Amino acid sequence: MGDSNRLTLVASDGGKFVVDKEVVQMSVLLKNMIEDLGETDESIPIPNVTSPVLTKVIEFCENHRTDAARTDGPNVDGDDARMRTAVVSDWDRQFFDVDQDLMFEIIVAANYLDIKSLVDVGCKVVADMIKGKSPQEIRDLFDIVNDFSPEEEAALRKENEWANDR
Amino acid sequence: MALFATMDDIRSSTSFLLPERDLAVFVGLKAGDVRATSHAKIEAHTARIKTVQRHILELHSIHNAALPLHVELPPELVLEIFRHLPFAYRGHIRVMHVCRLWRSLIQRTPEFWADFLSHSLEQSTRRRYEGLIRNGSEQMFLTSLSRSSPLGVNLTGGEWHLETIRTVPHHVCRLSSLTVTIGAYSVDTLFSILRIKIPLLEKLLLRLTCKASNGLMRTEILDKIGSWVPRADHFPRLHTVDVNGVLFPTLAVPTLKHLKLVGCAPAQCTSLTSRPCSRTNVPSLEALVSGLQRCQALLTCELNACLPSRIVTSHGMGVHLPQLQEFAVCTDSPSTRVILETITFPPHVYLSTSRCPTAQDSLLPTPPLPTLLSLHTLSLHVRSLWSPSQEQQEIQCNGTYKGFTDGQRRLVMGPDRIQWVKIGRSEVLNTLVVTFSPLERLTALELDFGFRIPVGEADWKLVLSSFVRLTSLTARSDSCRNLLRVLRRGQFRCPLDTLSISCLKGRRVQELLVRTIQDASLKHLRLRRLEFRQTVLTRERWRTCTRCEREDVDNVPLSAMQLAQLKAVIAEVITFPEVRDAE
Repeated sequence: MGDSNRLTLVASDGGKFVVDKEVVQMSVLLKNMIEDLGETDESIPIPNVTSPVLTKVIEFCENHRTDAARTDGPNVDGDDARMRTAVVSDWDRQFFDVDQDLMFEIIVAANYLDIKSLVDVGCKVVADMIKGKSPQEIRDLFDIVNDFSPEEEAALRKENEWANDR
Repeated sequence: MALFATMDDIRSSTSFLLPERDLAVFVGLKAGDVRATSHAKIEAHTARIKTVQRHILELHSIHNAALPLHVELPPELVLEIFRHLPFAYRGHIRVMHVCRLWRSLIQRTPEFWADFLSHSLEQSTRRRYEGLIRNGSEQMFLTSLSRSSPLGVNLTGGEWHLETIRTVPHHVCRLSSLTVTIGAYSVDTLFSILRIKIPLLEKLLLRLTCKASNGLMRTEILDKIGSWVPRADHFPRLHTVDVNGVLFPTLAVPTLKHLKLVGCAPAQCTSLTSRPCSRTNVPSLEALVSGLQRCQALLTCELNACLPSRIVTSHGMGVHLPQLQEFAVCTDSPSTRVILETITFPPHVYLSTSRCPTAQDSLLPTPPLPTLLSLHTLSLHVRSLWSPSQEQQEIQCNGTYKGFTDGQRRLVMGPDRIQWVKIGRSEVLNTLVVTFSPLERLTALELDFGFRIPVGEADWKLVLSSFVRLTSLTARSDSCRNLLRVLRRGQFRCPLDTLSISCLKGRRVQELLVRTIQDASLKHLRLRRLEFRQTVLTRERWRTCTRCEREDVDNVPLSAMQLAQLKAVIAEVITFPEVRDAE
């Protein structure tokens, strides 16, 4: 029998990660799986998440393991308030200082594993990247190409001119 | 005559980039034919350019769709990112201008527009919405209203918002809450909206201002409201109504759980006197009662300066609110009494009465309300409204009575701007004795007399001889000398076993305290527990207070001998500050 407080996660590329159960319980998906499996030595496969991404997710969970207790229980203010008050610490910003591919993969993995705080922080970091930028600057940021025709752009400007007046 | 007879003619006229094959078609043509042919070719090329441009744009869209942002993140996560954007009109609209994918994603997401609508309403309310009409707010309002469908709408605003939403009745039925402040003359607009069946409506918060309506009389307001009464299924979810009294009983629906009726707000009233007018108050006691009779599920009810003055009840008029948990009334004294006689509450209701400049005992009906009969503990706080001089015979003060049952607060009453007299019985103590001393379950009193409220021997004697069931007394005063004198002389009839004294000038009564306890314990006092607390100034307060104040609070702890003398006759003695060492 192995250590009952630890378990093994297997990434989609076969990478194995031995982690504290307490750490991965930030993931609602894994928490439910652990409860369903009970005491077992079996590893848990995470088929949608690669090793580099899983490494980052575990790093986040380990850093925020003490937050879990604080956020347990019903969220009386609702999802909207939760999103608006999501706090991005310096550590979180440093954590997301990676290339865009990896950043989006982390957010998707967090969504799949149902780790709300990681989804919130990830989305807030991306929102902060967008904040205050013009459409062209946003395009440049994400390598998006303007696919509006001149006529469509004129129509858009007209449609939303009320927003540009103030 | 042909314009271009040969290819050489063409070549000699100018230098062309067109291939010879294309130029050859012009050879031998007349001028008109050359123009027609060139025009046809131009048309064909333009069409091809447009097609290519469309293809390029489509390729751009394909490129965009293959970006990591869009490949990795499902649409719901992209929207989640947008929802984290700090709200600003431009910021939200800019993201629509980035690419087709983002635009279509946003356009078909009602949550984005509901979010946009509620925040833009908040902003427009702050900025005085009238100024925004010129800037196309109507288009913004209607666009976001339409795109947020079918989600519920929380509308906050004023007359302009009501006028605008009235033009789209199919969106009115999506209202889940309506919070508006309007001039009384706009009541007909309001009711033209409320007459539409609104199945999602849960909260109504409406404020009428009579100032903006040049003093519209109540009868004129009532004429505008008309005789319409909503059917039971008109607002099936409406649970909270917070409105001017004049809108009641029209808006009394059986589903209501929380009701607050208010009168005219002083700042928005045409009244030239210090008292607001009563134009937006409840028309009559009959109207109030008939409305409350329709609201049998009410849990909380607050009547705040919303009643007509000098109301009288007639025989048999009454209403029972069986579910009520909290009832608050703030109006003149006779009306409060009428209301309390007219409405029947469950025994455990939390009752709060107004701050009236009058004796509170006249507010309460006889026999006592069940709430009063259940009280175990009563606390009274008296505060002077300014720092009185020693010579003043009358002190203007505020008082608050709080009643408790098993630790739960059940009653709050507060006389405002009443006189505390040095000689004779103050109204505050009169209410205390007349109203509360007959209550059989009341065994604990907490009396807190603020700075320089002079409590005489006669006052303490009155309290201690009136509350014959009192077992616990907590007293806080400048000096407890007079209380101790009354205790020493045995001028009380209650079985007191717990005494807690807190005083500003504790040092001056230490000896008296010890002698009183020693003497009285031999005769009539059977204390089980004594607390003696003396005020101690913080270092900061000590620096800022006057010399006179410092002398007042020049307290030192009881000596060890004094403490030993007290403990010899009382099982539990607690002192503050701590006992000083033996000298």
